[in-house]
Amino acid sequence: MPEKSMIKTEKLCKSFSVGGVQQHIIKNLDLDIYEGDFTVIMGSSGAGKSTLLYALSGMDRASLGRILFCDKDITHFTSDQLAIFRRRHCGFVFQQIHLIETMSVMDNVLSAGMLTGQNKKRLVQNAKQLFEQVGIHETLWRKFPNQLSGGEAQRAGIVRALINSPDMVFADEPTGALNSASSDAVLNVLTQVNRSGQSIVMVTHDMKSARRGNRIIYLKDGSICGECDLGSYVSGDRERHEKLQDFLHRMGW
Amino acid sequence: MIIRLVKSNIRNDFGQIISYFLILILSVWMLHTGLMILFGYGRLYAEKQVELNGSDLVIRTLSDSAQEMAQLLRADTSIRDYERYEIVNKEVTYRPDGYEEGSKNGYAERELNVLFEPYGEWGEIEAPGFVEQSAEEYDNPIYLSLYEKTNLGVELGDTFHCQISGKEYSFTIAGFFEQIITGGMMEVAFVSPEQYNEWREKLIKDMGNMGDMEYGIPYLYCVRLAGGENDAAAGGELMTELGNRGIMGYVVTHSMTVSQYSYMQNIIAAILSAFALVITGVSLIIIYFKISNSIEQNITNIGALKALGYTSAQIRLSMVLEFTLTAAVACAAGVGISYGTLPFLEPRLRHFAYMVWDYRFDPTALFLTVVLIVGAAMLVSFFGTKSIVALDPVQALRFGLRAHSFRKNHFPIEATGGSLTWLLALKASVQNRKQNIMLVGLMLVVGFVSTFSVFLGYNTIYKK
Ligand SMILES: Nc1ncnc2c1ncn2[C@@H]1O[C@H](COP(=O)(O)OP(=O)(O)O)[C@@H](O)[C@H]1O
Ligand SMILES: [Mg+2]
Repeated sequence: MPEKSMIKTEKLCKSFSVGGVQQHIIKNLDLDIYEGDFTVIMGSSGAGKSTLLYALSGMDRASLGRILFCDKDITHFTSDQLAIFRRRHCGFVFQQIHLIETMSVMDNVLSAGMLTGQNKKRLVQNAKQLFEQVGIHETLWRKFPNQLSGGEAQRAGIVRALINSPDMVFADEPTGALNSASSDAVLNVLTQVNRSGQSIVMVTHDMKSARRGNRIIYLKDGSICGECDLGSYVSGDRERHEKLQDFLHRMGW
Repeated sequence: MIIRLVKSNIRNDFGQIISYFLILILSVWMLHTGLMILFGYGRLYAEKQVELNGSDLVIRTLSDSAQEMAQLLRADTSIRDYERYEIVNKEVTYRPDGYEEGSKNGYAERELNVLFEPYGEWGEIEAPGFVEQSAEEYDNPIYLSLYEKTNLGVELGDTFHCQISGKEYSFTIAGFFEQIITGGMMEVAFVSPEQYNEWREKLIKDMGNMGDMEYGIPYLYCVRLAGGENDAAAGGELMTELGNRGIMGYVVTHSMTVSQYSYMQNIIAAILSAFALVITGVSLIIIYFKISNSIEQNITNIGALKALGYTSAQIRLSMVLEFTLTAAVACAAGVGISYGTLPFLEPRLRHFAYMVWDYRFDPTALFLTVVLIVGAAMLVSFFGTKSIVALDPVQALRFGLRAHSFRKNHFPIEATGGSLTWLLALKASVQNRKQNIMLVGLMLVVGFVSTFSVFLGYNTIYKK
């Protein structure tokens, strides 16, 4: 089955001016992200992974080149156009989670969901279902984010990312600040969500997380150094694990 | 959706919101009360003049010029109508109950210059409007103005002990009336026609003994002007005319009386409103800085909201609403308190106002207060949040506070001695210096205002 490209970049460049000097972080990147994939972007710290993710997700604008999202050219959208675009098309999961501390967990999810003008009753229903799905019990819904453990908060963050049924979920090191057990829970949720058809792009620099993806892209100094097709995640698959290890080894990880 | 954000914002800034709220209540109370007084008394005298059929001007002369006056007043086309009252003018030494000679216990005697008129013998113009009247009949009744009631602190049925021309009198207070010119500074009182005639005959007899032809019984001409005539101008012309004809007398106009009666209220209203505006101004400046501070502190929240797809306008709206709603609630509370305090304030004002102000709901005062306070809060929060527009979500999420706050690093830790906690406290306090200065400034203003108001209030209201 030919895969459908969801996001396409053409000669994407991103540079920052630091003290008057242009620093090129993403360099002439041609990349397709496919529908239904769990795409993992790997690379060492400072390789430009996050910068790329923000450009792909319409959070930041390209310095040069083009970005097509669902065949729509978002390259020259204004900030407000991008914001409105993100509501429907993008979900975000951050390393620092970034739930709003002065809102209950439920309100955090609803304040994202209401942006798309959904029917409130259905929205709440939907939120409850998603909470159940990621294993956040009803007793936690009315709590504030700082009353939750890191893993619970991150799973609530995933619910917020999913509430508008986005075309793509973008996750920037979602387990970077979590302990091992919480990480596994969060990764299980992401795997499960992907299996139900949700496209995901995840940035990580840790192999345990990377293993969850079916397609690994390795970024080095703002260019794609190589990529590896792993196939769908199966827990405890030795062969798959070795393939990934081998790939990363070749990439000089 | 936005309401959820507003609630979250309020929770976030709760401490500041509360102090802002309390300060605004104070301003609203002062501003609204000031405006109520200004507009209320501004309308009061005009309304009372219509209600009581008060004169536009009152001319006081003596009986010997009666013919010439009649001629003069009839010839004057600006005069629509007038009535003449005969009066007996007496120096009255009022001695309150419990008065003792030479005592300093507060029951001091009071010197009054009273124009006596016979009860019941009045016409249409400048007739007394009775607000209280005793059902009982008294032997020797006296009817005082409502002003005199507050001035002397007397009640219906009280005995009015006094000394007039060296003779002791004991009246019973049988009623209180309202009238603008004669019920205020021109201290008219009504006594029984018998009492009045006794004094009048005595006066005529004394005049005869002295053989003084210039002398006469005092007359009050209470004049209503034709529509569209200006009482001050007409009063001026009449004064000149009296001078030309060599008639002894003077003219008191409605507008002159009103400006004297409302002098103190205008000052109080002006002071209240001015202080209210100063406090509001200062608190709004604080809010302006508080908003930029709050944006800095919540930069990652704002970044996250933008990432979710909130537009800058929506985020701004949530903050503008936060402060505007607070101001609106403060307005409601302040206006409520203002109406709640008027029953205590109004009686104190009667000393200057010479009239009872039965205040009503005043839409103009409410409207102005709301527009000024809520409008200012809206404007300030609108401009205070303009930095949100340029705030880049990626930068905000990535670097948080560091990305947008280029504060100077006061007391670098590596170069300053002392314990770490002390150092951190020092750093924090220096970084909040702007806020601290504003706060101290506000405290000073509030302190100054309250001290001054108490001082002013004490001097003008209680010590009078
Ligand atoms: N706004 C910015 N201004 C200047 N440099 C930036 C900015 N954002 C990112 N960079 C730089 O770009 C490089 C790549 O950053 P990033 O994309 O976060 O890398 P990664 O996520 O792979 O660790 C880093 O060297 C970082 O310092
Ligand atoms: Mg990164």
